[in-house]
Amino acid sequence: MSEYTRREFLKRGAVFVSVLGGTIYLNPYLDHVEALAENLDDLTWDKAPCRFCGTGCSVMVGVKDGKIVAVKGDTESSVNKGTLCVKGYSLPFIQYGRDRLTNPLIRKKNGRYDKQGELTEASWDEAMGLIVEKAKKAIEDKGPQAMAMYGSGQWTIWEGYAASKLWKGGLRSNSIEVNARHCMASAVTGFMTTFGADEPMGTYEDFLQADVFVLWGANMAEMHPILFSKITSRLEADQDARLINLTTISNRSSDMASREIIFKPQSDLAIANGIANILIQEGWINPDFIGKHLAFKRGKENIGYGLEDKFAFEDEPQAADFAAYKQFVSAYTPEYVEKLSGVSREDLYLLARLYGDPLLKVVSLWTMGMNQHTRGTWINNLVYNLHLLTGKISEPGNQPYSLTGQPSACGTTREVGTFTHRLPADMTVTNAGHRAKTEKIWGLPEGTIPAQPTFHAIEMMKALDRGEVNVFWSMTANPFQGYPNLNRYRNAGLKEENFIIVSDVYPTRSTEVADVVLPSAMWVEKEGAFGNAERRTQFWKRMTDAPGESRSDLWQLIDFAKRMDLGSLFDYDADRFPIPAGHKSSDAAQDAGFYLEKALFEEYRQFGLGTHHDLAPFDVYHQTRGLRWPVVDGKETLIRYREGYDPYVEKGKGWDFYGNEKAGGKAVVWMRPYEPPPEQPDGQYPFWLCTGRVLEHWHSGTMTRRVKSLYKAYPHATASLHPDDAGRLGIKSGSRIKVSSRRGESVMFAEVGGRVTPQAGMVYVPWFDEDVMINNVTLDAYDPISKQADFKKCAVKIEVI
Amino acid sequence: MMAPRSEGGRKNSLGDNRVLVIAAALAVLALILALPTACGGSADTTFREQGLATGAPGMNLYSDKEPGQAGILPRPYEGAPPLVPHDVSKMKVTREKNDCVGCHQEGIKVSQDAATKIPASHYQGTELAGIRYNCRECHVPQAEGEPPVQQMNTT
Repeated sequence: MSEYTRREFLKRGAVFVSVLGGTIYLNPYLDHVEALAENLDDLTWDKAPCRFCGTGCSVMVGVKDGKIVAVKGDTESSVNKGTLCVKGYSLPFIQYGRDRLTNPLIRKKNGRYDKQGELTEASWDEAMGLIVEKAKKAIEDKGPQAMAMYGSGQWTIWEGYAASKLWKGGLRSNSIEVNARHCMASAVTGFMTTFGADEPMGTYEDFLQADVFVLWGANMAEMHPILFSKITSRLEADQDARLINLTTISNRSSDMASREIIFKPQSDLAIANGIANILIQEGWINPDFIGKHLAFKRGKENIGYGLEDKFAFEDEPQAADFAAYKQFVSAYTPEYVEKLSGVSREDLYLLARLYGDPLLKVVSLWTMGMNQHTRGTWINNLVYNLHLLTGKISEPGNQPYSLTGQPSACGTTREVGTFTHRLPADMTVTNAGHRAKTEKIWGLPEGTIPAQPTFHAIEMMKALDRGEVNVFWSMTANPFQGYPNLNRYRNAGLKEENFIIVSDVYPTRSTEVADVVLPSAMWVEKEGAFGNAERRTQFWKRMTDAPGESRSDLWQLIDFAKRMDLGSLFDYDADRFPIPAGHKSSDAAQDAGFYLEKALFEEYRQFGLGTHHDLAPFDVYHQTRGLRWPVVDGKETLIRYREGYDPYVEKGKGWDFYGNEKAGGKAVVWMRPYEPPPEQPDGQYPFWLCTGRVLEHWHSGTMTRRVKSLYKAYPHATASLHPDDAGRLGIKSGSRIKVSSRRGESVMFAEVGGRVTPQAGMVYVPWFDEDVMINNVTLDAYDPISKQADFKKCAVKIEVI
Repeated sequence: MMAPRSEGGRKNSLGDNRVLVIAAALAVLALILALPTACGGSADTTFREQGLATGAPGMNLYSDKEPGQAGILPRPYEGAPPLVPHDVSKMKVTREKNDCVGCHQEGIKVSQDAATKIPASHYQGTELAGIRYNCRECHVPQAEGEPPVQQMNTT
């Protein structure tokens, strides 16, 4: 922003005010803001990562008389440098909704557990006793896979680790999944298939050096505001820096963009291949990089959508070469791409030029638009292709960047491996060596961990419906609001033979379905650790007490383990892990009598050492604003796979994609075609439905909608429509409408010309509102490789009611 | 209030049209009655489920008052970002122009109220810092209506 335009602002403002007829003068008394909180010296301040998204901002939490009364951005954190978004500033309220759960609840009639009864307060002993009774019965009747855990990217690292160890090593059940399956499983499979190792190569520092930002279906202005502010900062510093908003919906990110490119749903596959085709045709590729560092592969095609129960898919990668790849993408001519996507030849060339110009540094960014996609793995692969063909990867300012939506989707679910098929540090249960290493670290006999995955998240719910899973325990998640094709799965939970446990902090749409509700301690009511989207592991200490009888998820897991005679999994050497003097211990550590979090983390750390996943010793994280792994010799790693930055890359190699070590350290360029989505608008259901979020609300809104200022900023989920569609249907802002699909319906008010405007033929509905259960409408089709559902595309009709 | 479950969960779950105004009014009434006991309770009492579900969707209705005519909203806590009391539906923050800065840069006084001045912390030298440029990330307007669940620690 130049000095000139700033003066222009002031001038415009002044004109604006005088039009209103007000007196214009400067008010000298209003320059306060953060200074006030600084001056509240009777507060105790301590650091914690934000409770919300995957950005991982560090906040200073101000506590007075045992209550959180203020937060401020942590100036010592390079993530957010003292800033926070509106959700971050609302953290002092999320614990204190008046309906906070404070007692275990059991559904009872006439004083006894009854599936048709009412939630009734009970003791922990009674609630856990009932859970154990149901778990033992399910395991005895149907085997350990019938006892399912559904956790979360909001679990702390040690909660996820304890749950994984308890399920895989204790119950000998691989029936453990997380809500992160619906959030970034395609990002994981994208990383694994292209690089052989999960998680981004770069960090947020790369944003500060990029010339071009390409958003692939990511409205960062609302969903990752602090990262978007890094982009605006870069755009301000350099007039030539550019933001391209490649999107299906016109949104706030377009306001800062030099070009908004609207594309038809699913056609991102064609666009990426079309860009690659131009890069090759025009010679805008990097032959040296291609020759040294890339391999080419093709996989299966026409891979299906997972709509049927017990759907199974295994890709069969086949080696290819550059000539075959060139031939493959040559079908994606600008004309063909325009036909599929609606993106003009000019815009496709614009994108190709930006990716192809060796003088421009490019950061591509994405989240749910690419991950919640029935070809999510493929589109992740295809965007990596663009960075690989041009060699624009693993150097400052040149990075493909997969963002995350949950505070510890990376740190807990991906790194600990809390999925049915995974073990810590990118290992899998199907690999005998990986199982053996895990059993050794866990001190368990060989052959303990079952070698076969059981159910991924969607299949886990289907198995509940079929009666193959009978006990389903949700922790820090809201599956009975969040699952696609929700009607089927809510009904599954309500079946007489099924037993649903929900550990949470408030009544939710999931506690409605629950048979037992366990009140959890949250965020700084316990000691915790999250890992953000730049591989940064961040710790916090316990600062306040949880209300009533609430207990941390870690305490709940270990209490359950003890009652299942598996408590020895968590017996650690108390002398080795003493609780430091003056330390405010969590409930779980107090009960254990030693520093349980440290014991769990130090054991977990052994998985990563020497395997490209090195973490620092426990105590280091309490002294820093987090460190980005691999942490080798006390130093964090800013750029992976690159000589001079990554300690694992040998001198002289330049780049080494060591995740594919066995394939010569080469990254894989995949031949992945455009394939249509499983359901498209037709005569009966003529609109696309896309779901998502808004700035002020996070996930299902259970925390943010209890904060007055956030609630009032965006009280209700509305349906955003294109003005042409609205006009044709006689819909105005404020019209009451019904959106329905072949699976269900949802009623809400329409909005035209609001914060977002979808392309013609599409309706956008965020899913945060308990009164707008839009997932009754969505489709539970998923990517056969990642098993992640597509919440962004299904066919609906709209009626005014 | 918590009802015995029927197929599909709550009777008033959305997608079910039986609810609407009467249910919403009842829910509000019920909520008011339930407030004093919401946090308490002993082992022999039935849990009263409040929750956020009111049984009816709503519309977001923001202030249409011009800047300077809308007063100033109290902050959620000392040091929290000021809330936006006035109509912002026509205002944009683009690379070319930032509609907020005009009045707020210097805290221009409009009728009785002065625009809350952008504090020194938001500047880098004489320029609004790039990371603070998108004002809407923190400063949000407030629509009509109150949340179904109140806070314990609001004053």
